[in-house]
Amino acid sequence: MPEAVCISRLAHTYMADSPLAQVALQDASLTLPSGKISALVGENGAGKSTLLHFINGLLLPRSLGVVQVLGQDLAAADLDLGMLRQRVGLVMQYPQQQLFERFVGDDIAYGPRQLGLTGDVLRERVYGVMRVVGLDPEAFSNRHTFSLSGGEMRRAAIAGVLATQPELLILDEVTTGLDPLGRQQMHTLLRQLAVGGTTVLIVSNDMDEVLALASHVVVLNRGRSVFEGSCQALFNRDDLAAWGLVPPAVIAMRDTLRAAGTPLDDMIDSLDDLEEALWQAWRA
Amino acid sequence: MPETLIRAENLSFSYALEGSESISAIKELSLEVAVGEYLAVVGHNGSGKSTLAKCLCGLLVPTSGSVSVAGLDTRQPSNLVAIRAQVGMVFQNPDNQFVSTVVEEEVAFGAENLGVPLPELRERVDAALQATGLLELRDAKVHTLSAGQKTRLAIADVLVMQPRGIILDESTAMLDPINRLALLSLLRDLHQRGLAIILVTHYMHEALDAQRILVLKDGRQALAGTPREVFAHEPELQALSLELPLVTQLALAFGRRGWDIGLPLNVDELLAAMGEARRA
Repeated sequence: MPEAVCISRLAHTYMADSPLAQVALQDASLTLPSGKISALVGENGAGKSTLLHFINGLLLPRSLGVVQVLGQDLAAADLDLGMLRQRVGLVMQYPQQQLFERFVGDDIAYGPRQLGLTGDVLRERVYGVMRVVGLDPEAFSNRHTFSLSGGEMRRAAIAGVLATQPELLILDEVTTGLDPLGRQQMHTLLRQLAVGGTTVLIVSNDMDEVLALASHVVVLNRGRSVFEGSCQALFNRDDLAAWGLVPPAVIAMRDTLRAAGTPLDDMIDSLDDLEEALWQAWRA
Repeated sequence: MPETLIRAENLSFSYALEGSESISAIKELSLEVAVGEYLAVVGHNGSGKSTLAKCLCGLLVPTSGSVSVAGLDTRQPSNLVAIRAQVGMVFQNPDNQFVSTVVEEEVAFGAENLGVPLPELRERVDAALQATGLLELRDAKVHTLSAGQKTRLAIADVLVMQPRGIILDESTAMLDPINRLALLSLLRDLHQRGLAIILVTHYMHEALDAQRILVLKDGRQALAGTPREVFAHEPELQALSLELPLVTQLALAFGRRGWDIGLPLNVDELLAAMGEARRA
């Protein structure tokens, strides 16, 4: 199946029909290719987190819009939410919200335990994902969950979701609060997962991260999907600011240098490219 | 010799766990922040940045060593009210620090608790809302604000105390790019107006505005100096998993190719340095 997620004309209002009603989504459509890394971007309040909650069934389409996830129509009468959430892993924006066990190892083991894993198989699974996220199992399994630093909590939350081996992995601002090394490790991990067939969706405010990771980008603006396509098509537009976006740092720098008279073409989208082009322009 | 606002001497802080266990987060750190100084604190996850931030405003009391704010020792409970009026803190997730439902009441809360009389309270609230660009939202419900507005509201909460310093713990982390730039610009304004700024961040490019950068490693000072002085230690920074700003990375890449253009910190300096190097 080529598409992991297909959303069409989705709308959602929180606390509809009440004085506190707040429109989050007005008209959002998107398609996420299977086995690829996609990114959902947009300014604060654009509706990104709401959209994510639809993809793993935390919110269900009521009247407006169609949501299909891994071949399953979320409005279907026979929808098995438990099965859906086994297949769709969600790492939330604030990791503290999804950690609850007293010890780190138990917290990460919670998901696989629900799937029936025990003994050595369980321990292997837990230790495996801990290594993957950069938490040394020996040092961290018996640490108190809430004695972790912010970045360590984030890693633990991600490990807990990875431990159930979801087919579709959704990460809301996953590298926020991680240091550069942590971010690089996370990027490597997400690329490996995608190569292994996992569909990955990231929500990010860091356009450098989007450029580095995503092959497909969706822009939300005030509850509407306003762009869907490649990073290159997005970041070479000159109207990003209207959507509350800025180009990745390397592209912003390319454009500033170009405006100052150095010939640099639109294909340049990495620091290596920029270094080579500047070298050619200034030294050769 | 500039006047000192915050002084940490041999500061150590450990988090007590159950039983006799503890985790040492800050180890024998000495630091002075001058009145009106802009200091950036950077370091890897778990390096002690947030703990240091909380020690510097008296939210955490040193396990050993001392911290004083405007000469007031944070170990002395009777000093805390006065310390809070000198230095305020903004957390990464501002929702954790709001107490009221309406913007203007939220801003008034701190000063009201200090017993500031009404006409002055009104002036202070207006000034704080003005400085943070929230005047038009004074009657808005706090929960309806965007993330960028909430961060500015948390700053307004601090400004109403008329402090001499403000500490921000990864306050840009949850913001979209435009709000991130807007926040950095607000901090420059506040610094211009004489406020000491202590910005905790993972991003070296956000530390460029600072007069001094403190790099933490495992609770100790690894490096300290002006941005240019600190960036000159590229290998150490890489070992600490900290990324230099792009411009600086480019200049260092040229250096490795045998073209030394120094250490520019922004695009203008880069262009000037390349121009100069080519003429030479």
